[in-house]
Amino acid sequence: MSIVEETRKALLQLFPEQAAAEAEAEAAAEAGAAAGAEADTDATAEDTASTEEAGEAAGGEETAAEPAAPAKEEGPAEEGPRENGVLVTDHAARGTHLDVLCDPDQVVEAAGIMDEAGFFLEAITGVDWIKEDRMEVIYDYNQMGPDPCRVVVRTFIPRANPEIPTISEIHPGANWHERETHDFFGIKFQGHPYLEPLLLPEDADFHPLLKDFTP
Amino acid sequence: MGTEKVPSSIVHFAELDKLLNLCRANSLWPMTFGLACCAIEMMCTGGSRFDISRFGAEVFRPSPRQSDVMIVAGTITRKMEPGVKTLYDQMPEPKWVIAMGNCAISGGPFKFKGNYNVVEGADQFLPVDVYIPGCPPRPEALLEGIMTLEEKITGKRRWPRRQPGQVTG
Repeated sequence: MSIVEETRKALLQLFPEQAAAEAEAEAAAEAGAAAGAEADTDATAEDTASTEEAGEAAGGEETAAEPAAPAKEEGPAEEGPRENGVLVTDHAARGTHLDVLCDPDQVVEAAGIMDEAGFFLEAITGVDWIKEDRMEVIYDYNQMGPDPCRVVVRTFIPRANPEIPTISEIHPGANWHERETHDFFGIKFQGHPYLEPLLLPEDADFHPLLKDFTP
Repeated sequence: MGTEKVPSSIVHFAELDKLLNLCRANSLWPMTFGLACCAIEMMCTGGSRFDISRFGAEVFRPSPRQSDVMIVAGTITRKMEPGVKTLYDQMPEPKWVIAMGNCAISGGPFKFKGNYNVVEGADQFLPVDVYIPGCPPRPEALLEGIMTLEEKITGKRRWPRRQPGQVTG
């Protein structure tokens, strides 16, 4: 199994629904393997067109897995908000091999999984989605080596009260990244040992990278 | 205050000043104050190809107490400003300041409407003697800045200014 696949399986611990749906899809595919070669390509999700056709043809179990199975593929124009889950992305296009969207209270667990899988933390940053009234916290993990793999973990927190648990217990390097993100966005990292300004003056009370900041 | 005619063969005040200025100009000891990218160019100038040692300035002193000139090479952030001022105050007289690079002259690329953390120029809080524009200025530009400072101190330029198109040798 490649590193990407192994890490994806490890990260699926965070999302029991997606894991269960994929297990169902695999079981259904194996059951349908007797029916023909279409079910094999269906299980590996290589051919998008035949997946959709065989998905409808295979029966009720497949349609139950349909909403979760597209999480394996990258839809070109997805409508509606993205569900929590692990996406496999094209590294050449997006820069990451895996893209994880989770809840704020799952980031510590995700950090633990990445640490055990041998990844190091590259960066933590934030995005101010002012129109949706929420902020996004983005964690980049990387693992160089003979088989490189880059993973991004995203989570959304409310803009009015932006708080999220710290991962600096697991990745000590996150200490400074979280201080910087707090400096620029005002995101409070609960449990951080020293959330003082890193780049801004010590007495700064402004957060420059918020979209409604005026100097 | 009255004046007294002192025989010029006994006391030569003016000559001593000139001599002291010549000595100071030809052995300017810079303080290592590379804050950002201009520091790399300053390091290159200290290397063997561009060789700031020709001008007597290769001993970059880490301590402000032992240096003559502070080459502010790089961006000054508001967080760093008290530190820069402290180091300047710790330098003994006579001291000079060279503002190297656009950030030290005026805030450089960071001088824009939404600027929140960059001090727009070293001359906001320091008396600057020589400005060297560039982003970053070439090592030759830094050497020209050192020569300009020498000219400011002694009144004479060490080497004649090259004209465009002039062929050396």
